[in-house]
Amino acid sequence: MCAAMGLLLFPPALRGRRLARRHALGGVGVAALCLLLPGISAAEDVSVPVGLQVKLLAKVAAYDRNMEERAGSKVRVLVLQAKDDANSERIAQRIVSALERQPKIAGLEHSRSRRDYAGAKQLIKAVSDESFDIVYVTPGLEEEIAEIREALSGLDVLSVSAVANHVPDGIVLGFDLSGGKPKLQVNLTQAKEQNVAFNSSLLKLAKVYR
Amino acid sequence: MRAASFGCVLAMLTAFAWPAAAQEDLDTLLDQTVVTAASKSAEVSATAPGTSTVITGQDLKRFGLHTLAEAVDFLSLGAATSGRDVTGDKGGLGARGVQLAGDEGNHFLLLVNGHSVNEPLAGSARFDRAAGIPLEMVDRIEVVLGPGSVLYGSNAMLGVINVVTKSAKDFAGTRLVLESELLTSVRGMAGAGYRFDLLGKPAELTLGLEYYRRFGPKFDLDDQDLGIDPLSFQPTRTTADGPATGIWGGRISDDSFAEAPSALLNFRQGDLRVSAQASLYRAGLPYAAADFDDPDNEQLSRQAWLDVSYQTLVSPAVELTLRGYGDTHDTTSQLDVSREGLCFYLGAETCRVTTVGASRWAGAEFRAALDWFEDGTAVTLVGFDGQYRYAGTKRDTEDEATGRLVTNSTGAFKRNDFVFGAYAQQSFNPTRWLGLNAGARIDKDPRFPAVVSPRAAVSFVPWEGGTLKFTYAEAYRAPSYSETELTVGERLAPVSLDPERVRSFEGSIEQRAGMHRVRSVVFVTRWRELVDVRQLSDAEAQRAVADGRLAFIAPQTEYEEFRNVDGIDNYGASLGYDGGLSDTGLLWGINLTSAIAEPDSGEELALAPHYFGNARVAYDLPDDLPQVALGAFFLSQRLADRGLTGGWAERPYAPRQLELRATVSGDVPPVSGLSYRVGADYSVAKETPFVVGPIQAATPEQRTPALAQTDRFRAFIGLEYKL
Repeated sequence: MCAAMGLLLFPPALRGRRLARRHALGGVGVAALCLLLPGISAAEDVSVPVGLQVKLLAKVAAYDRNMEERAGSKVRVLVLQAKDDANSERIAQRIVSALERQPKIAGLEHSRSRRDYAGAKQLIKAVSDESFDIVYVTPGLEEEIAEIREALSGLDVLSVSAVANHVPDGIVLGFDLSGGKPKLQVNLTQAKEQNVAFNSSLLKLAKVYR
Repeated sequence: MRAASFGCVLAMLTAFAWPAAAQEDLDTLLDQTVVTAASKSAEVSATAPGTSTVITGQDLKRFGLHTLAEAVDFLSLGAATSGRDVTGDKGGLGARGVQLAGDEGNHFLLLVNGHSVNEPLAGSARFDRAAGIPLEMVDRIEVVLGPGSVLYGSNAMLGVINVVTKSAKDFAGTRLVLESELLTSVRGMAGAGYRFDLLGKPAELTLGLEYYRRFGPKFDLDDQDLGIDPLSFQPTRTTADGPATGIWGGRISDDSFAEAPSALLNFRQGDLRVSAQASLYRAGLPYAAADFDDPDNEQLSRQAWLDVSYQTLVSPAVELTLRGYGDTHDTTSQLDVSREGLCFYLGAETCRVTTVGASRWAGAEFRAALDWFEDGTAVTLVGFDGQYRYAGTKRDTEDEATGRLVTNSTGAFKRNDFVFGAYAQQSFNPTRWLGLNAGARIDKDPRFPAVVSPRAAVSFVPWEGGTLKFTYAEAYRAPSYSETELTVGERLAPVSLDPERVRSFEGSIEQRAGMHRVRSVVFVTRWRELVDVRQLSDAEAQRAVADGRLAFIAPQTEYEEFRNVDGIDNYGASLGYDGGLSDTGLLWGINLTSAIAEPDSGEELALAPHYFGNARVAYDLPDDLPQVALGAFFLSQRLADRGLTGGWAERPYAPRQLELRATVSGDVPPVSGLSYRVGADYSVAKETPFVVGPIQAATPEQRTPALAQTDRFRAFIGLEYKL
């Protein structure tokens, strides 16, 4: 499609003269660039700016009645990214950077770690052994959401996604943009599976999936 | 000075409205708005360059709004039209006390999902029904005030308005809408939004089809005495069929109509986005200087465009966007004229004057974003936009009875050219409390030297919920082809014409606490090289003959041309306050702007209001009860568009206007998916500041002008059914 667009923008009909040759070269260049691109990455919809997501997370986490008991004195955040996915890596890095600027989450100090998603077993091990309290999922893990949901069920952890579409598929908390304003999304069924107990006042503000 | 004092008071009020240590709670964060038009990336509006208002699709429904112009009037901070007239036309769009005569959206850049729709022949964009955008599809309207050429090029002098349509998720399913302004218009809309798999990959499609038809209202125009025709020495004829009375005026019943079919489509699969729109607008011209209430006096405009973009990441640090687009826009105006002074051709009793114009343009934009630290704190955006344009127009006069051309085409030209723009923008957010944004764009149009439009903005977040922001920006408007190329009647094409320029400095302070937001903005703007019509002196007319621009100088004829004329000093302040109680469903807000616009000539600026704004309150009644909303839009007195040039006995002003709109909306309980909206609109004043009819300057018989009318009361009812 993109290659065709390049040829459309620099149509062959313009070829044949000196100036037209430049158009032809331009068309070939665009087409060649586009042929390369699909193999690199595909940007996913992160509609709410990451900085605002992290600020929201810092406030919303306080509405989880079990967060303080789960975290103790410090909230540990695991940011999961898809391996070799440029967009996932970029969003993960932005999340980590925004977290570093965020003084507290749910009123508590916090630490963060960014890792490639390497399967359900490794995720369960990481959350259990390193006591992560929040797992922040990035775009590029659409195929693995069901697996992540299964892995986190039964664990004591809040899962969050930068992509709103992940919430109905099994991530507890997500952020969507509607009318230019951020909207909270909560998967209540999965919240119960992960021992997340949001205050009813929060649920009034959120779109709830059951 | 008054406006500056007003601004200082507003700034202090804002600063002390809440304690500096106000807590940024969850309500505050959820009430933040996100804009994309200011920097071509999603960012929180509080810290985005310029002054932004985000109007949501929900607001449009809640407050009974039907057009982009109404949305701007009733809900935005700092922008306004001249008020609605009886035909539903709100005239051009102004901001911060600058409203320019003859403007038809030329000084705002209108984007639909980032696609610019201002056409090059007249430079205009429509914000009324002619925009052809089904409002049910609108997710939000971003109104970004202040010069915006840094990323968008020409036309963004007063600001940029970006209409963002809903995704399939928010426009899911199929819906039907039927709405009517009682005894005046009907509108039907069918829309659909679906997500599906295409070639094994998820895709989504939204589509809206709309048809609007207005068949009234009937209204009265005061008589205008045209006197004795200078050729026939009889009373001037003002109709094709009736007796020659010399009187233009009476009841408008046949030429008050409009129809506007339109379609808007959006498709997305992965990183590929396709948007397309097609619309037609046909309407009567009851105010035209032609035969009175002749239903054949009409305007027709058609537009269609396609925009395809592809965005991808080369690495976590580099994002590329390639966009291609093509637009077509054409207009036809048809006027029947029976005045012998204007229709003096042998055998023709009534002349039909048809002016057609067409413009086509297509281009490509390449954009690259380099995220230096891969965390969004320092992003360089560079882009290149190249566009091929064609525009042409001509005017034909024919015998209305036979269709025979009575003279050769006049005002004919065809032009095509390439225009290029390149831009760069650097954003840098080194800390949580500081944001920097600077950039510039250079545009090359073969008709004038290259134009550079810089912008620099800095924002501070000194305490939670508070934002201080300062922006310096410049913008320009390329003269339209009609201004640079058209020779018709006594108007000559100018030898050269430079682009209009504007530069602006603004400072703002905003404080949020819960659902409350107070913001005040102080602005100082300098306009220069404004394009306006000026008469040629005798010496200039003789030079035009020598240059070959004019064949000969006809006796008792005054020639004119477009020129770069005055500048304007414009300064003032705006104050906005939005609030609400989340648990009760009660929302309110008020926006006020006080501005001074002083042309270099020392004269008053026509159409410009010194004070304007809006106020609103909405309440969601509990349970299944409806939502009620009341909106108000107000304008101070304004000098009529021909107020300075008409030689009237007294300068004509449109009176202060207050437009009130009450709306009730809700579900129809017995029928799942069915909802309703009813409302009424009342205007206190009955006139707008536009001189209408054939008498555009004082005559011995008529020393006062006729101003366009407002229909003072209008009621509407609508039903929406989601399948």
